[in-house]
Amino acid sequence: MRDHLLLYVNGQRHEVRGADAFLTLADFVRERLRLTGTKIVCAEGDCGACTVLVGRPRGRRLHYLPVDSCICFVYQMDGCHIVTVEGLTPGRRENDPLHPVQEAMVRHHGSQCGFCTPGIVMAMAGAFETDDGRHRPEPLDADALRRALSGNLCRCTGYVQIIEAGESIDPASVPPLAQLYPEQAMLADLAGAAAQPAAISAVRGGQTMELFAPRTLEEAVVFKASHPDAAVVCGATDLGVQHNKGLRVPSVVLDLSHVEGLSDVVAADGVLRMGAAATWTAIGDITEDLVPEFHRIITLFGSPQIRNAGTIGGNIVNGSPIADSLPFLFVTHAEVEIAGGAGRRRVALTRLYRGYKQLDLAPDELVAEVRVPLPRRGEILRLYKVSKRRDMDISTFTAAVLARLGDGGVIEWMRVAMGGVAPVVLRLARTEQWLEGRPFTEETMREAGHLAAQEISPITDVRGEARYRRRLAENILVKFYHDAQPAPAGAVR
Amino acid sequence: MTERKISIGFPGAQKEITVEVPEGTPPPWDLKSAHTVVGTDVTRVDGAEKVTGRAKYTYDLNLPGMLHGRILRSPHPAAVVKKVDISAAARMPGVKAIVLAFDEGQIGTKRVRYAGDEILALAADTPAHAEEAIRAVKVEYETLPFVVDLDEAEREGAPQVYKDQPNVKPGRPRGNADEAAKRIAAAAVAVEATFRTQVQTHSPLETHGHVIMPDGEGLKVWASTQGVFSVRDGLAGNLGLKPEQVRVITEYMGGGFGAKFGPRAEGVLCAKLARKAGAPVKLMLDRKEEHLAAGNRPNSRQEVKAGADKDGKLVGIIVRTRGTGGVGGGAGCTIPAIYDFPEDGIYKEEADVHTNAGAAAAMRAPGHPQGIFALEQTMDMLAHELGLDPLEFRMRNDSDPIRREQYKIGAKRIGWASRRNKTPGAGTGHLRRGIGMASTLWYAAGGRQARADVEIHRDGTVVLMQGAQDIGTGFKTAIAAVVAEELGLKPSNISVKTGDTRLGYGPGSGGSTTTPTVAPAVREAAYAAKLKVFEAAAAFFKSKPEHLRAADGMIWVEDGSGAGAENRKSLSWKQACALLPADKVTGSADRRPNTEGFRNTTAGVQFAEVEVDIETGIVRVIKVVAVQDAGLTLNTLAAKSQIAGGVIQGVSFALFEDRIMDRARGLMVNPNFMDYKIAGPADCPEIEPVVFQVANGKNSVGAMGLGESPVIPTPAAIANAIFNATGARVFELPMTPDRVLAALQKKGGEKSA
Ligand SMILES: Cc1cc2nc3c(=O)[nH]c(=O)nc-3n(C[C@H](O)[C@H](O)[C@H](O)COP(=O)(O)OP(=O)(O)OC[C@H]3O[C@@H](n4cnc5c(N)ncnc54)[C@H](O)[C@@H]3O)c2cc1C
Ligand code: FES
Ligand code: FES
Repeated sequence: MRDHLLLYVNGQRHEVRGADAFLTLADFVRERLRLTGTKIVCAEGDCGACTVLVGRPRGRRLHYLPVDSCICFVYQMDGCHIVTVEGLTPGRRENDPLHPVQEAMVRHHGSQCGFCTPGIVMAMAGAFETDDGRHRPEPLDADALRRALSGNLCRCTGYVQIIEAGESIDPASVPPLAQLYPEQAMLADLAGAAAQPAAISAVRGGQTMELFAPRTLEEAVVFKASHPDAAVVCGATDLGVQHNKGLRVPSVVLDLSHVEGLSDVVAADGVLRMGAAATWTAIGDITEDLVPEFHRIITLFGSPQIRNAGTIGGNIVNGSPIADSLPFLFVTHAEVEIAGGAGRRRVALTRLYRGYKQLDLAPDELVAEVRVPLPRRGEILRLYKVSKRRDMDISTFTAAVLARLGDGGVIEWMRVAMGGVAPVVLRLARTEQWLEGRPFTEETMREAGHLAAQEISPITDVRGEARYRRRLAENILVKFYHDAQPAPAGAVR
Repeated sequence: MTERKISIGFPGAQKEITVEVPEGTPPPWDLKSAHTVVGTDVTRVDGAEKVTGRAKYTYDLNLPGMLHGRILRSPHPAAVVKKVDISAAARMPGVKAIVLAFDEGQIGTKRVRYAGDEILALAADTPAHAEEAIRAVKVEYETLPFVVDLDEAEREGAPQVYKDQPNVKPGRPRGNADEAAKRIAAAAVAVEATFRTQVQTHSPLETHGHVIMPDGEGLKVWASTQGVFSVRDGLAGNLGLKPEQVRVITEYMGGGFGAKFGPRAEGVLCAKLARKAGAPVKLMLDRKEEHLAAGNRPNSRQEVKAGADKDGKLVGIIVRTRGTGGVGGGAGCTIPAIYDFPEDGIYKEEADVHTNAGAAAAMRAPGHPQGIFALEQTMDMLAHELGLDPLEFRMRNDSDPIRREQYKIGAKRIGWASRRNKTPGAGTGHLRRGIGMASTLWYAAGGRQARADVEIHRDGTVVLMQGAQDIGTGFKTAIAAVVAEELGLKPSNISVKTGDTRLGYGPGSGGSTTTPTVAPAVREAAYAAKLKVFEAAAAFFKSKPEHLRAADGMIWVEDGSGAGAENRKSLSWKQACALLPADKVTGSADRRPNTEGFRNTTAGVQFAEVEVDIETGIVRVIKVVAVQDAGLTLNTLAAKSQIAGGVIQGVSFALFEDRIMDRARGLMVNPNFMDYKIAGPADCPEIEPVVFQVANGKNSVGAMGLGESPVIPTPAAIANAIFNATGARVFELPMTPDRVLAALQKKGGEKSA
């Protein structure tokens, strides 16, 4: 057991003990290290002003990704190297050149008030990092930049000159972080510590805080059995927001981010297996060729910063009726593997939810893995996410349709799942039954839409009105018909 | 005083005028001036500080012994504060000072009028301790009936927000209602509609806040503000100090958009805490407080009737508007001033309606985006009724020479003739494209008080000092460019000190006036300082100071040959400064009033292209062409940034932003960025800013403000584009997918009916 965390910030080694381990990373760099370039603007992952690059050991390298430091905790950074905006130009003196991203932002007038600028610089610098630690081969085009910056808000500039700045950068001029911060010594030091689980207790504001960060699932299960109240943390993108709003400030934390194998994503024999701690970024990478339609929805999930931290396990257990992964997992008949004191069990995802955020999960249980039977050749899959803004927005409505057509355009079967239309994600059993064996025509789908609208029970909330959600339920099936038409875009090849 | 002929206006509408140039001041820049710095792409003088994270905002300051302040706010939309018990809070660890937001004697009768109203503030040694102590304060409230909705607040018997005042507070009507109605009734075509716009919060990324340190009897203040002098005067007034006892500094600040003037309640509380504790106190609002209590753009309901004759000439318009600025006022909308309505065909009446919600504050072009949303859709509706192209209809009713030119530029760039649906909604498929347009006008010539000082040192250093703050617009860079132009140097050679009440007076950054107000004083101060360098250098050239010229870092005798410094006797800037008789010379100037010049307003037009998914109602803005006059532009990079920034705020207002109030509980349901959506990079259309230069000759520089105008027409242009794409008109902002679908359904219903 280790009673401290080991991490590096801008190349500086830090052993973190006591209550500091429970700070958000943003508070830690701003308040403890006085690195005030990192800003906290929303404290809930929506603006990217707090973006830093987190380098995690992967093989013999540190792999750097942008994350929102306001909604992750210092304990999750155990074994990592964090680079803040101050660290982009190590050792720079007054008149030395700026980092190429910074230089381009100045040249193109990418700032007005400048409050968003450090976060934008970090997200953009992160977009130039590559898996192999070399220079990015091609420049970033406007689309790639919009995607890379979709987790950043600027209230002043209108983004145009920020995008222009990014487009102007010659990737060969951007030093990979591996070059700025030699990795081998850092990696060796971090690996030494990583071998042991970290366990920290501290007192903060009169309250005892406890952290356990196991290395194996078995250790995790044992701890959970003895601490059923422990808050399980994977990416903390949900928990961090709840923490900052004062809704959930757990005194015992079980951090799964260092559990061996729990972040793996593999596909074999037509089944996609995702460890509970697999991030959306990792899942997005593997599904790009495997299930392009799911990949497309993942690219609309949150922002790069959120996808780099948020996990499938967290999404499932958080259990929101508008969680973006669920409709897909519902129509593909996915299963979750649950580990607990009494051993392991498997549950169909559709059976996991009992009511609004009510799960069939005992206090001593953890979600370990998700298994998805992949859509087969000839099946048509379409996923839908409707939200106000295009990116970085929680959905108003989600849907998944998976269908198999028989000879002569008859619907052999069609599975329809919708989210945001009831306290839990729904499979529309009656509509599905009605569709079976009918001709796949616009008429059929229109009628099925009416049925679907009756099968759901939406409410009006801040993201949309009930009548709008009903109308979407109707329209989305017609949309599926159109989408499946000329070149069935979602078809599995 | 000498007389000088200058050319003003723009190519095509050029005018020669004679101006009087006082002794010791430069003649105004005009169409014929050749500039090397001004009007080019000038990178920010503070760019490096911003991109490296070194720029210290108020939020970033950390003084020795600094305490952290926090405000307790009413959780109820309307209540009487019966009792306030701070005894437990005062005993909490780290608590150093507690101050009430009202007089102690008011406890028992004090009314709070919205959820977010200030009750008290306290300061503790850490933010966590302050937070914990806030939770330990016990307040007893007697809750009262409340109303948060505009329509409900107007009704007979609605709960009254102010005890002795009706909720509805009419403004002065303008024009003759009967006459306007008569004209519209007799018109060949007439339209009538009700438009609604929502409450928008300013949402600067840096929230409101201060760091305030007791300084002898007085105060030293760092403020995230648009007006250091207004913070100074406000604090002095509230604390019984003389203005010169309060020094306010704003080196960097993270956005304001109109909401950050004066110390406001939180600044006064922070100052009181600092004095009571005898220590510096930092008090920054959090995101929720920023949404609830830091100002907003009022909503509106606008009932419009208008008519045109058979030749497509406007004959009259009647506009009745209501809006709520919550517990504040100022909910009026713009008057329909853009188009050539006959003067006695215009009738306008408006009223502020109070509700139990946070007070409005001026927001980027107050009243205008709302008013233009209604006016420009009305214009399109009339054009549609007449069977006229909306652009042609505007050409028949807009005599403004600048906009007439801008219409042509914008129409060409958006592809008005080729890409617009001749019949609205004519496309097929589920994605429909359309094009719409709208216009803008703004008052932006500046001209209030300002003083600038320029020091030139013997080592060649140039220091420009001006007290106003740079709120991000690039004010600091713009005035550095003016000095650089005058002295023949580069902006990076000028060291600029701004944002400090110890420096020369400067206006608050509002009403698009900072740069146009300050720049002429800056130029004249630089000119005066330059003459002193010329005097010192004249002996060397055996010439007279007024015959010297400074450019490209050199000084030489101007002989009218037009040749530069090369191949002739010259001094470098540094060499010339070395001849100065003293360590430094100073040129100072006060802003002189504007002369008549070209005109007081700026003009602009915008064209938008949208794509509407008729199955989900999702609108995507594809492209916006924004042609904008900014007088004589000082920095084209900054001008483009202002235009694009205005457009994206317009897109955001048009499609996403909305302060949503729960009518039953009287609370804002989305005081965050998760559900209060502002446009992000992926929502950003292709924006083509076109800077339209107009020399206005009103003062020695001729710049016009640009902060506000570009935000005005965007929502209206988008609404008109949605109509062109779908044939359905959306009368209410934000134009969310559900409203768009509802409009489409209504249109479908009309067709089948
Ligand atoms: C700005 C922003 C944007 C977002 N956008 C989207 C979006 O587009 N679509 C969407 O669906 N979601 C979105 N989310 C929500 C969130 O990112 C996802 O739900 C994410 O997948 C959660 O994963 P996590 O690992 O971060 O969860 P955590 O916060 O770590 O955990 C979430 C919950 O699950 C529990 N938990 C986690 N792992 C386990 C486990 N293995 N076993 C048992 N319990 C566990 C935790 O105790 C906690 O209650 C967004 C969030 C933010 C802040
Ligand atoms: S502060 Fe907004 S994402 Fe972290
Ligand atoms: S420059 Fe002000 S928020 Fe981006």
